[in-house]
Amino acid sequence: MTLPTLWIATTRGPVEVVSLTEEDPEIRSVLCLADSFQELPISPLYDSFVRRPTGLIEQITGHPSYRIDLSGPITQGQSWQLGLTVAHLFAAEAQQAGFSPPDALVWTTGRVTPKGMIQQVGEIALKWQMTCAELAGSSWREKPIIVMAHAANIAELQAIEKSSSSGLSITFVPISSVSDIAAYFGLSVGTATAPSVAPSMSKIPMMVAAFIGALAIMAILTKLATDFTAPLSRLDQEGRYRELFMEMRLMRQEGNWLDVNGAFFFQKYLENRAAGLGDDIHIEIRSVSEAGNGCKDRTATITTGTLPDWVHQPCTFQLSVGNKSDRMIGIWVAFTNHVPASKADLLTRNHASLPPGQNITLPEFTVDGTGALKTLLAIATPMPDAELMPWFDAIATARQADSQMISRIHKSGTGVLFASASAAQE
Amino acid sequence: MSNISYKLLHKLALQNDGPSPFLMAVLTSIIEATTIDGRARHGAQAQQNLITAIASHSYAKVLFPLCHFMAAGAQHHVPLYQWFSMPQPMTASNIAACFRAANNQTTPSHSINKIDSMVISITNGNYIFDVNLGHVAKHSALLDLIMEIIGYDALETLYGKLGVSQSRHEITTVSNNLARDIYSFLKEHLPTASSEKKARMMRDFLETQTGQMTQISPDEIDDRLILDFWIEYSPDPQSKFRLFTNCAQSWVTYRQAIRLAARNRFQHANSLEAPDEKGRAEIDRADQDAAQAMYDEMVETVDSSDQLQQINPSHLQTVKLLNATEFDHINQIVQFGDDGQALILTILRLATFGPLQARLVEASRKKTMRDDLLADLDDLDAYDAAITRIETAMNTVQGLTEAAAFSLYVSRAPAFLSAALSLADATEQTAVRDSAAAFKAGLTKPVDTNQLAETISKALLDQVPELMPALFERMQNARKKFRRKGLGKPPEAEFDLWVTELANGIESLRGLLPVLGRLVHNNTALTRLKADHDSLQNCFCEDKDMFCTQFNQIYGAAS
Amino acid sequence: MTQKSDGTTVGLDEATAHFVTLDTYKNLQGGLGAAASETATVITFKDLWQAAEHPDNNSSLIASIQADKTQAARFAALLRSMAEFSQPAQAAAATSNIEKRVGADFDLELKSSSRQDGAYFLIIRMHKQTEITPQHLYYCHNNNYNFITLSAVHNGVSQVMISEANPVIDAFNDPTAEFFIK
Repeated sequence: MTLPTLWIATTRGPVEVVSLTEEDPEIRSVLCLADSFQELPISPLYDSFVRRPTGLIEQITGHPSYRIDLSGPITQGQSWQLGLTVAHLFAAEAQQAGFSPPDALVWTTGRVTPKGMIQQVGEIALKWQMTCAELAGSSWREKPIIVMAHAANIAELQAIEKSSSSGLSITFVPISSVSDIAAYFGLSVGTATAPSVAPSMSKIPMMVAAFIGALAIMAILTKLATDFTAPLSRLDQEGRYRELFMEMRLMRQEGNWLDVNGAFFFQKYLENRAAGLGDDIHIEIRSVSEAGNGCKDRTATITTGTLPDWVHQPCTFQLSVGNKSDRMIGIWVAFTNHVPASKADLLTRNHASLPPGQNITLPEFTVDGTGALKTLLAIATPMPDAELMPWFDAIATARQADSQMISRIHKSGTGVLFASASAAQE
Repeated sequence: MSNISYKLLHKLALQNDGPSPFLMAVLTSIIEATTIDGRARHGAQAQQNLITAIASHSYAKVLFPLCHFMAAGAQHHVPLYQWFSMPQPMTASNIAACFRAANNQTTPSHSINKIDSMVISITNGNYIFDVNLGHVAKHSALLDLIMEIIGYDALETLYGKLGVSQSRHEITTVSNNLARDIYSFLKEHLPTASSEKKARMMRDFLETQTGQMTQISPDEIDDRLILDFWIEYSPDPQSKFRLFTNCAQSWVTYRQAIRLAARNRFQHANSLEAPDEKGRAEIDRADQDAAQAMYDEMVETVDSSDQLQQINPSHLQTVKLLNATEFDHINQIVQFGDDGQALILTILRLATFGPLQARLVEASRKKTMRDDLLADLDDLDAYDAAITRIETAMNTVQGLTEAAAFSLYVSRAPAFLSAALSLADATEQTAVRDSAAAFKAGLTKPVDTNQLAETISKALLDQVPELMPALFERMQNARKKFRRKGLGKPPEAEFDLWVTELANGIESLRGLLPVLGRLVHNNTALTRLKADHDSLQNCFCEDKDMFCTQFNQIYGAAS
Repeated sequence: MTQKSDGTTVGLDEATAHFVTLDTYKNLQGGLGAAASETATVITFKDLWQAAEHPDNNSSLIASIQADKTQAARFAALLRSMAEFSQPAQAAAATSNIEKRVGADFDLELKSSSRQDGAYFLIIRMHKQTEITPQHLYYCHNNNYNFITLSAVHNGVSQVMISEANPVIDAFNDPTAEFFIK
């Protein structure tokens, strides 16, 4: 994607944005030095600046992860935010047809709030001095330079230029919000930076809906519902459940009528999916016969919260999992032996990504006959499961199914099965 | 007579002998180990005990309680590496703090019955035992050596075994295995074959000299025996006694060994088995007493040399109290320790013929035998001169002590007062203390302790000529007599270092005075030699003939 | 005649044995005072500890340790002991996703940068909380230990940007490699 020549002002000299790349959503956004793989220490700050719920960029572009290569290091402060915002705006605009970047050097410094407001920053004089020194030996000295910053900082720069002119062809652009940037460059992205997921009702042409008829109204409402829940769908598809729950809570608490219902129906969709996944997976436990120890070949299909009694016998067991649906499902399984007054013994913990209709058998594990309680936990999801793992691990070794945790998993649209068996008291 | 470094002579004697460079590097690393804030990891006693345990192969009895300590640590889930990376020195209280922290964090399967400051009681099934943390701290350096010998991986395996041990027998097994590992290691890196061979030669010689007597006293090792032994064994090129210096020092060590054995408190580890339970407490007490006695004996012998190293001219930066020649000469004398009184003639022989032999060795190596090497022996008063040099050395040490103290006085450093008190006579000491007491009694309001000390110090400094007139006069005279680097006006830079080196130098020099004093004053042997000048000359002439004959035999004729 | 003569006598053999001890003691003491240049250079536990605690500043020391088989084994034992989290070798049969290594303590994931310039992202997801801040990811591959400095951990996740030439990539793809975090 084509970026304009974009310089971010620093006290050690301007840093150029060399490239901007969209990355896999599971990757945290990074700032790195160009031509090296040296990640800058402020990358976590940049990631927070990009990714919801704190990040502004994802609100604008819809994508949560980027890699930006810079020509030099940025070590501290937040004045880089304006420059990177400009870079993201241009990158997003460049994905649309008919865009060409301005033939100018864009010089920026400024902090950007999560609501897209621009704030002034300090050390303007030093930053400008370092920039002029850099320009002295650069071909950009002869070209137009667009200086973009908060009005107060622009005033400082104008005063500096007035007292000792650098001889550069400068256009000062005071801005107060991201929308001002978009407006100045004529960009279509970034014109509305509030985290709204629903268009105002006033934008919906009521007259049109009334004239088209009931079916059209239903079609439009359906489309609106889909649009309203599009961000939720995306979060679900990317397995970002923490943010999903926060978004739905915000919609229910602060949204309008459509937001509230959108969140409600999406939650229902997730819960139905979770229930359906329970039917889509097949879990079987098998006891492997061994001569001399009384272990027989036995098999049981786990469909309820109960394991067969023979799982307490000191034998070798095997789990099989299968996918009965027509889509790819990822399944996590854990089997635990609980010994009183001791740490739970996680006998097996496995994962399998199963295409439709496939069954696999997991590695064998041995039960040693101690422990009066055995538990089996399985979760199934068609979505990325990274954020599910802490929940899975939290209850994999639990003696009882934690109802709150089970509910949370269920609400994420993930199928859950927790089964147990207690040995009879001697 | 030119000055030959006696260090060179000693090095020549130690060729192809002694501890391996690897062992010395490991020991140096252990002894010089510091905590994160720069303090020594091991106390002085732990360092000494390590050397003693290695030298005497008496580590087996120390390993047994150390293994119990490791068992306790493992049972309380203290990671092994934590003992070797403690941010604080290995003292009993710091080790106890580690146990308390571990006890707070975990619920050990084997409980600590109690932790007081020095002893923890552990209950492990039916086996109850105590761990004396003071004892552990005293042998912490040995623990480090175990780590270096068997390695972290192997020690961690043993640590795990100790952590699940249920009986004394299991811990004993580990302890014995460790002892065997150390023994094997030392067999390779600290060969004693050379010492044993020397010892056998000396023993056999003593047996013949004493007419097959099986008992020996220190007095039987005298100047005559040493010389006869050297004459007999020095011609052998393979002999470790070729150098008279080495011969003399070995016999001094033998005298010390007799006294040590006579205390009958040191026990060699004849068996690598741990003691039985009945005798354990008694052996432990005896072991600690023996270690302490050995420590005292060795320290008494080595301490003077250690003291001297403190003022080694090559180690000091802002002062030069002794020059290289004086240093080497005094070093040679203090090696004799208290045995110098009995072996005064040997000292004179060493001082006179030792440097000559060193030159002959060098010439022999370079194959440049010179005819004039024996020319320095033409002076019949050589022994007189040697006695004079010894007395001069004693006076130099005394004088330098006072001159250094005067430099501290001029600089008005508070360190002067403690140095002066150690040099003053009883009357003067009393006067100083009385003056300080009177000052304190005259206070009318509470004063900060540090400020009070500072004020008293200043007041006493002003009164030094009145309170310590004799010392003051001696100091002034000494300052005029001894002009050395650092004795004079305080330096502008590195003032604190200068004060420290002077104060430590005074203490070191004072430490030498008793040994030198016993040699020079009230030494009937020396008095007898000095009294009869002709006899002394005759003695020298006889010795000269003997030594020259022997040197010719060893190194070939000079002409 | 010595002024301290007290008529003490001992057996010759006993005195001789004590002589050996004293002579050895003096040799040791004399050796300790020798110049540093006269002693050998050895790797001690202190060096292993320094290398394990501060690998960033001790790369040449780590290389020296690895070059010595004995010291390398000791170093490996120390690292295992110090590890806060560990991920043993993967069972080949259970590994169905080569982009992800799964473990009880933490998972590892390797993703290439969309820029396709040879940059990779190593994502470490820790399943347990710890009081100490994880500093390094160690791994043992082909009997060699290497380390990667971890970035700040957020919500149990740490991410490191590496080049395609980084040996951790080969280790990641080798089921027999072991990983540790401390």
